[in-house]
Amino acid sequence: MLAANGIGVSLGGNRILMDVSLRVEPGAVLAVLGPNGAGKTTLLNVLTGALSPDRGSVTLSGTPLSSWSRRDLAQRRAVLPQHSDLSFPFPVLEVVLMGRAPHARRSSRRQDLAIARAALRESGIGHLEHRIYTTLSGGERQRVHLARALAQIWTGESGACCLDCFLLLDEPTSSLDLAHQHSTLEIARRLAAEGAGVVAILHDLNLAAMYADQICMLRSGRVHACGAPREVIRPDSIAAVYGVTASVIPHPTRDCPLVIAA
Amino acid sequence: MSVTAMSGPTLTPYRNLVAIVSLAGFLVFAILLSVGKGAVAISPGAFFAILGDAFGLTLPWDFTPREQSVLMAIRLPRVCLGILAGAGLAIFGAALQGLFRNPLADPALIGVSSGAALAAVIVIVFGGGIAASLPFVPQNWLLPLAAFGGGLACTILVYRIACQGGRTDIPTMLLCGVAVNAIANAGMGLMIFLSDDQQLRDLNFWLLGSLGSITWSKLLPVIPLIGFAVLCLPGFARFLNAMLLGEAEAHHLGYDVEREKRLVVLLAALATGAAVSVSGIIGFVGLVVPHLIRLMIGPNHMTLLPASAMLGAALMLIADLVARHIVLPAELPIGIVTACVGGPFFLWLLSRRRRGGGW
Repeated sequence: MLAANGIGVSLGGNRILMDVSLRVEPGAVLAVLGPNGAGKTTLLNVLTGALSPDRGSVTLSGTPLSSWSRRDLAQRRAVLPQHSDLSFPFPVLEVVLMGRAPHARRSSRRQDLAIARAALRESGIGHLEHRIYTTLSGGERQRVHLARALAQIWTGESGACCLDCFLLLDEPTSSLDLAHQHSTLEIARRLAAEGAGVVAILHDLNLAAMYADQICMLRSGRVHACGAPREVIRPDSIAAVYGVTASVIPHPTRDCPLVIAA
Repeated sequence: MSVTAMSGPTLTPYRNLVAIVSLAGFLVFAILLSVGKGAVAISPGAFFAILGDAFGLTLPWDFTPREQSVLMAIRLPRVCLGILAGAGLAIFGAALQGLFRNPLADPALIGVSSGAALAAVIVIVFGGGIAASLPFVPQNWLLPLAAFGGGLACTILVYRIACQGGRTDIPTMLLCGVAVNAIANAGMGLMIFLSDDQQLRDLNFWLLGSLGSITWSKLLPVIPLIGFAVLCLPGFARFLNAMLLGEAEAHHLGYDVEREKRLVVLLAALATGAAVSVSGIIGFVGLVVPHLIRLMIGPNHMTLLPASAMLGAALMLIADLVARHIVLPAELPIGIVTACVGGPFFLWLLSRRRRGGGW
């Protein structure tokens, strides 16, 4: 379990996060929503261990992040960045193999290759294996990094995710078209079904409602609401957090709410 | 775009092996050519026989005492220096480009070489006084250590200014190099003003770069310094690969980014400082060589670092050969040769980048 307890962060004299607590169970997808400047990215940085909070702590499997060795931690949680500025002409397969760095000397080259190829197929870009990264489109690049993040926390050659592993996604759909947005979150769902926990920062309320088990809404550094989509995606909370009047109706084909800007 | 697509290697281990073996072959060829050519020609057979003789082995080739003394006193230290300086500058260039995440970082361009040279020049001019105040440092180590310090200070300065918030601003990095070069040149100008005739002749050598006038005693402290850096840097290959993704990504992959960065900078400054202390400022080797290797076998540091060291050594020997023979009986400073090749190459790199696409 990945849990944040009473997180407080101040940057440059500004209080960015105040008393934020949340938990992600293995097998669940948690979406973090909120307007720009609500502290979503800062929260993700705290959850990855890149930023130490001023107050509170983050624990992975009950142990504080600060007590994990960097390498052990890297084998248990992977991060998909919002964008990456890799500007060297690596073949796609090698970019994905970089995700295996924390497993160096504990995993054979053959196993690394098998896992990297499985991760590419899982991300739906198995055919791009030999292409050069810098010649790909923005959406394709994003999927390469998704495959890299998957390869980082996979253990078996069959592409099984390690138990109690976590994948953190920073606006994973921002540079993707509609079909790819859905398939990316479907991959996140499949990963959760295999026993991983997923945290995704999202902007699209409807994507969050469709794919997340839990939604956490941030508003100026505090948790405004946290719970199942049906409990959180409501006209009053949308008005309070985003200042937008919206109608929420049942999704016509799925068992989740659907937001329509009024 | 099309350029990178065209240069896209498919990177099988087999292909890498072929590249590494051919580079090693090219290096051996350059060594044999370099020791053999000159006023006294030495055949490869004689070269091996003389080497064997030095280790007490008798090989079935003849050599004259004249060949032996020319090889042992002049050619061999010069070739060793060429290998060390070429490998050191090229591997440092490759590591620095990984650290800065762009392929325009060259020890000479960003001012690291001139910083190292300035420190060395100060030691030449005020050498007596400095040596007297540091009696525990052996005389022949003072120059390489000073150059190392100067190079390290400049690397840290440029990195601090050009890399903010984990991102490198390329124009800032290059302008930083212009500024550091200007300051170092001013400092060297001042030293030239203060120097006497003998010192002036020594100083000239720094400004243009040369592998000549090397002796075993000057070379001795440089061998462990560059050797150590060249052997250690490939251990950072995976880290440098991860750095190309970004500092945050390297952190997510489990690296202690600050610590690894410091170690790479330290090793790199060690290699450049030591190389500069015995060969002066030889520009563009660290820029051209890693780029050629990327075109041949791709940007992966696992192969890039050792391959750059080998190609850097071989090309340095070839450049020295050109410098020795192009204006016989005089000798051209090698820095002029490398700048004649490297300068246009740098312009080509810039123009290619302007047309769009990756590196």
